[in-house]
Parts: sequence; structure tokens; C-alpha cells
Amino acid sequence: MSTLEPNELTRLLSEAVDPIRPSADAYRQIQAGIDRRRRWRLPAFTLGGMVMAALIALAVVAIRPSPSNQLVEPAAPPVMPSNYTGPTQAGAGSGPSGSGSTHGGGQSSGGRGSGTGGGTSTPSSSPGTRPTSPATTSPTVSASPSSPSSSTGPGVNSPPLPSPAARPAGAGDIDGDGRSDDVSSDGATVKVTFSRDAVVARVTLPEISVPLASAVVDIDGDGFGELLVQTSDSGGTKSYALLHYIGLDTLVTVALPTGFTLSSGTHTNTASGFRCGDHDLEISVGTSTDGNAFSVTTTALTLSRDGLTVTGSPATGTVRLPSDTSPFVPGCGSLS
Amino acid sequence: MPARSDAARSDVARDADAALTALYSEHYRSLVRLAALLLDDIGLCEEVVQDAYIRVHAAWGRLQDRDKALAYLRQTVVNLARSMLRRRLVALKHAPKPMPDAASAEEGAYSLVERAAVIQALRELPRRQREAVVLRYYADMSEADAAAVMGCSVGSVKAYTSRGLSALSGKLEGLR
Repeated sequence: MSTLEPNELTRLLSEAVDPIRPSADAYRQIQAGIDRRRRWRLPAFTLGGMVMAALIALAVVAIRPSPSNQLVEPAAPPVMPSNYTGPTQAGAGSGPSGSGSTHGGGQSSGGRGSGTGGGTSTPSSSPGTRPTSPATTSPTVSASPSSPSSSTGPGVNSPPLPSPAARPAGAGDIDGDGRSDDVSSDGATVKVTFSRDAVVARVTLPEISVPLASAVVDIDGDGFGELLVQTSDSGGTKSYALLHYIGLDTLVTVALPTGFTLSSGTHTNTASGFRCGDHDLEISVGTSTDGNAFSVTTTALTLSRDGLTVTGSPATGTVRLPSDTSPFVPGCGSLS
Repeated sequence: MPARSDAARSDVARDADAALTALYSEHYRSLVRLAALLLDDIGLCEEVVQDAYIRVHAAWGRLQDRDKALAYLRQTVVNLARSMLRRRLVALKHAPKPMPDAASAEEGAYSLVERAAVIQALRELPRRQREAVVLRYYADMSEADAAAVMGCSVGSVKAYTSRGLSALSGKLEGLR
């Protein structure tokens, strides 16, 4: 088989296609194609742009999560006293200070109290709705009438906590600004003048020992001091109330679990006391048969916005008085 | 600024029109014959070449080297011929061929071409070999130019050309 020469192949190919003659209107057809392309270019670009925009819009709609799929959990309502009306500005016209002293007798059903007189409200206490039992005493908190939030009930729209200056809070510092706050009493009402903004918060308790004995101690170490106030002293046993700073210029009385009291001292064959531990409060209850040897049960409680809750199991022990160190004292800060 | 842009655009359009006319008068016939050698259906060769002219005209403003317009045109013809072959293969698989219409004058010339033995032998070659042989020996392109048009290496062009030439020699031996 002889190989085909390139020149011969070129000749054969040229001869094969030589009969082909272009059509007469070839140029006109090319021009028509060019015109057609020009004519359709703008609509095609416009249509393409619209399609792209529609695709982008569809992609955005598809990628963006639907609002109905977003789960929004309501914030847990803060612990508020049964009849809280809000703080007052120092020096501002103080309302009828005794208007909030009625406690537990309001007619409204807890949620939202209606403002009366100078803005104080007296919603009824609703201990059954709390996750923990209320305090052994049912204190009343009142504050100045000028606060706009006074019309709202407890647990709703409470002011937020400011940022603390240090953790734990410094000496005497309740509002977390690093400075000591002034604590005083007026009858059964504790008055705290916050150094942060000079606002005076008033908390009405069943009674308050005179002279006032109080201590500021940051039990939970959140940078805001808790206020311990001696409420009574009878028969060798002193009772206390613990006030918790839960929001800007807002103090509430801490509720204790059922069966616990915040007291110290010895009365015949029973005794009680408490001390502040590491981010908790330890309540000790002792019983004795001879008044000297006490069987002591110590329970640790943790402070939260809901109040004091029992953590862990109680510890038991024996204390012989007066030789052993007595656990039946108020061991949180120095009361003054 | 928009006025200048419009003026520049109209200059490009005028330039493209003039170039198209020149390319048509000088190369249209040879390109149609080139397409006839590349395609299975010679009746489609003019359609392919006209489409190539329209595309090159549309892309005239984007051409980097307008002196190589003929090379662009040839490459477009080769690419369109490949696409046409692919489409025809798919169409042949899925649709029956319609009955032919009455023959025109051009189709009479085409039938002459169809009957040429070298065309028959060329169509039996694989597509790459056919392209290499046509570009080298009909379009008289160098191996480098053929490689650029085919989108492969010069060595591949040499191999395709050699194999195609050998195959054609066997098929056309009886005619020589």
C-alpha cells in the first residue's frame, strides 16, 4: 500500500469541494443574522437581568430563616416583692410614705397592681405562685411615687442590673458601683440611698430593731451586696430579713424555703444561726436536751433571683456550748 | 462620557461591518468548503459559516488582535462544525430523518460532492483525524495553527495527521 502524498490529498480535497458555490443571498443572510442579534440583544439582556434579579430574590427568601421558625423564649420574671412600687429619687417630693405599709391585703390578683394616690401600689401577695416558699415574714416594699415603672406590677419590666464594679462587691456596696451605700431606717421601713444615682429605695418590713442593725455582704458573689437587717430581738433569738438587689435601684426581700428562718440565738433547748459560706448561706438549727449539747443540722442555701433554695443535703453534727464555737450567731458580715 | 462611549461603540460597529464585508468577499467560499469537509451533512455548511461570521461580528469589539480575524473565523467554523456534529448525533438517535424536499441548484452541487470518494473516505475517519487532515492539507495551515484551532498540542496534530493520512491512503488506494 503506497502512502498518499500530501500534495495529492490536497488536490483530491480541493477537487472534491470545488463544485460548491456559495448561495447568492449568503451575505444578505449574514446581515439579517447580525440585525436579528442586535434587535434581540437589549430585550435579552433585560430579560436576563430580570431573571437574575428574581433568582437572587428567591435565594434570599430561601436562605433567610422564617420569623415563625425563630423560637423566642420569654425572659424569666425577676423576683419582686408582693407590693413593689419602684424606687424614689432622693430629694424629690416624697409621697405618702406610709401608703405602702399595708401588706397582704390588696385586692388585685398579684400580676399588675394599680397605682394609688402618689403612685404606690398594693397588689396582694401571692406566695403560692413562687417556686419557693415566701419568707417567714411578708414584708412590704415601697418606693417613691415618681417612678414610671411604678404602675407595672411585680416581675414585669423590672430595671436591668448595671455592671458591677467588682466581684464580690466591696464593703457596704449594694448597687455594685464600688462605693458604700447608705442604709437607714424609718419605723419599719429600711431606706437605702444608692451611691450610684442617689436614688432612695424603701423596703417596709414587719418590724425593725432599734437601733438599726444591718450588714452588707455579697452572699452570691455577683458584685451586688445583699443587705441583712435585724428585724426583732426577743427571748434571746434575733430575727433577720435579707434584701436582695435585683435591678437598678431595686431591692426585694429574699424568700426562704419552707421551714427555714433567718434567725440567731439560743432559746431554752432550741437554737439557730447562720453564716455566709462560699457563695451560699448556711443555716444551722440546733436542738438540745440539756441546753449545752446541741445536735446541729446545717443546710446550705443558694441565692438566686428566685430566692434562697436548698442545695445539697443537710449536714449534722454536735456542738457543746459554751466550750465549742457557737454556730448560732449571725455569721454574715458585721452587723452595725 | 456617555457620548464618547456611544461614539466609540459606533466606530467599532462600523469597523466590524467593513471587516465583515472584506472577510466575506475573500474567504467565505473557502470557509464553506472547509465546513463541507468537516461536516457530515454538506447542506449545513453554509449555515455554519454564516453563524461563524455573525458571531465574529458580534465579538469584534472584544477581539485582541483584529489582524487574526480569519484565524478566529476558522476556529469558530471548526467549533460550530463540532457542535453541529454533536447535535446531529443526538438528533439521529431520537428523531427519524424527514423526507428530503425537492433538490435545489446548490443541492445538486452538494450531491456531486457527496459522491466524491475522498469525501466518503474522509467521513469514515474519526473526528479529530478528519479535522487535522482538513486543516493541514486543505486549509494549508501549519501544525501550530492547526493545533491552536483544534485546541490540542502540536504533537497531537502530527499524530492525528499521520494516522488520518494512512487511513485515507488505504481507502483511496483503488482510485489512484
